[in-house]
Amino acid sequence: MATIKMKNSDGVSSVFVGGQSYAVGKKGIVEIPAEYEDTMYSFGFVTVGKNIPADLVTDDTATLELIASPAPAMVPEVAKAEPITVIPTAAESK
Amino acid sequence: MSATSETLELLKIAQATGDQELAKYFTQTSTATQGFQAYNLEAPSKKLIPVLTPLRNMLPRVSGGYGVQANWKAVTNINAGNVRAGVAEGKRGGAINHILAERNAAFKSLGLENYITFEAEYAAKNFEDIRALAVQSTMTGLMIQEERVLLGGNNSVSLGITPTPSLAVASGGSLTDVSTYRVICVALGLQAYLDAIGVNNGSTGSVFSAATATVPGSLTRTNIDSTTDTFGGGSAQQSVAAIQATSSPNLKVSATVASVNGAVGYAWYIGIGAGNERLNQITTINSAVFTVNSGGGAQLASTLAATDNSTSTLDYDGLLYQAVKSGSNAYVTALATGTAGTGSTLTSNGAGGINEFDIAFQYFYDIYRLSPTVIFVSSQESRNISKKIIANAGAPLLRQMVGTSAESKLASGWKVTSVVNTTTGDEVELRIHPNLPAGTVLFFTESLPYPLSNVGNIAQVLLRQDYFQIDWPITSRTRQHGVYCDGVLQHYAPFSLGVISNIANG
Repeated sequence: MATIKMKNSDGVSSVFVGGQSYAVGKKGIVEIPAEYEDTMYSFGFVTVGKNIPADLVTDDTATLELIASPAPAMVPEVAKAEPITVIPTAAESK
Repeated sequence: MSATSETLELLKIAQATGDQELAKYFTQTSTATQGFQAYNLEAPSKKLIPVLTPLRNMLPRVSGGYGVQANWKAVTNINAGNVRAGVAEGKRGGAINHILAERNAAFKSLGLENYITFEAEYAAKNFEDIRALAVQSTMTGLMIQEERVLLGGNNSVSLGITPTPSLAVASGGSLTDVSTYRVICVALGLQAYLDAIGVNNGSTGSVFSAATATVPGSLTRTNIDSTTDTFGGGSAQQSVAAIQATSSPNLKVSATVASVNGAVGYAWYIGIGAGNERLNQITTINSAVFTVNSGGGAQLASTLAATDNSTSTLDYDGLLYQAVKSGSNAYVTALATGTAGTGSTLTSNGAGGINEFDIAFQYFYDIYRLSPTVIFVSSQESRNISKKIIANAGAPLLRQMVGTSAESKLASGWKVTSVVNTTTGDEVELRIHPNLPAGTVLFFTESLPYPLSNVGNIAQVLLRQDYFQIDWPITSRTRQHGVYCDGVLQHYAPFSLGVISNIANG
């Protein structure tokens, strides 16, 4: 059974999926069967290696550690603001 | 003793006893029913009851039904092998095959009874004709119940066993006990949902309360003739309990469950220890967040038998269940679970419409070459759809021009009453249905755009017997009245229906 590691930042301490309970590590990491990946999204988890680069996560056997800096993939791209051009109305241009 | 002194003695005795007041004058008494004042009672009683039956009013009622079920045949393909039409010189063309489907719908009787005692009739004289009231209210009550069946009667779509919920424990709640919580979910069909939530149709003021609400399981009704009927109340079989331990107080439990085809709501029970799961909330999306314990008097999940009670042998399939029924080919989809407790909302298409409707419109055209004409929605969806279309994902297409006036009055706000089918260009009306739960919308097509279809009414109520009243023979000092009808909702083209469910508020 393939498993995946998922991370949560919302203070989740344990989950129950597929009839089985899983403790979440202190850093919000839990390892679960891959088939429950979508279910875990509903609880605010993201997939390590997909939503978070795996090389930013270290495993200290007790819990998995996430390096403090935010992963690039998690930072939403912000569109660069375009300068606003005010077009005068017909009445104003007269 | 002289006559005068005797009179005076009697007067003294009367004053001393005080049983009957000796008053020198008359004043208005402080109570409404004692003293010499009149009783200003307006007759008859006021009927402060909404009677909302849009489907019953809209669907043609066709008499002439007979036998035990309506039967018809539908040609769904006139050239099944897609035989090409090109013909070589001097030769004849290829023969084509058609596909024929057999359809049927069994008749069902609907009816309610009422009675009045002789004494009640005497007592109501000069105030109200309660015999007429009894029959009228029975007729009205039947129409309201018939409306529920026309929309959500479920004879054939078993909701089955509700899937086992998934849970997550997190900080930020008020679950006081540090213990192992058990969560049970029950998927609800429309009839069960309306019973549990309360429907303000034929009554007013119903507001859901988890402390007093009851999810119906298997129902046994004792009829006026002392016979009984047992039927499914509309709820699925409860899920297996999901179990989650908490390690500290003031946590919350989030729960999701795989959406159930045909469910319009989900009843959630939580408790500590097997058999102690009590009703905590009912949602119209497939998730919930428990922040507080259930009330001590709330319904126990254990009161629901461990059976699927989603169908009723006494109802015919209403529009919702004709749509979600396997083989209907209707457009049926549930929005994604999304974040537990929040769900997924309808979304703006950025062009004055709703994405999810656009997808449905395209499906209806691509697969069946038709356009729905009405989308039935709840009050929640009506409000949210208007908001999304006007706001248009932050780039509104509308500008409201306000002129100055002497009165400086401004009436503002928008209500979207129809949407344009972005595939066909047809206008599709948005219509609120009082019995439609938040989170579910129903696409309805009023006519088929097919030539020579032989379908006059795309949907109709075929009746063996329309409404009739029975005044039962008097066998005791009561008068008993019954109002009944007998028929079935016939839908010739269930593929023209559509249901989007699991829509979150927002």
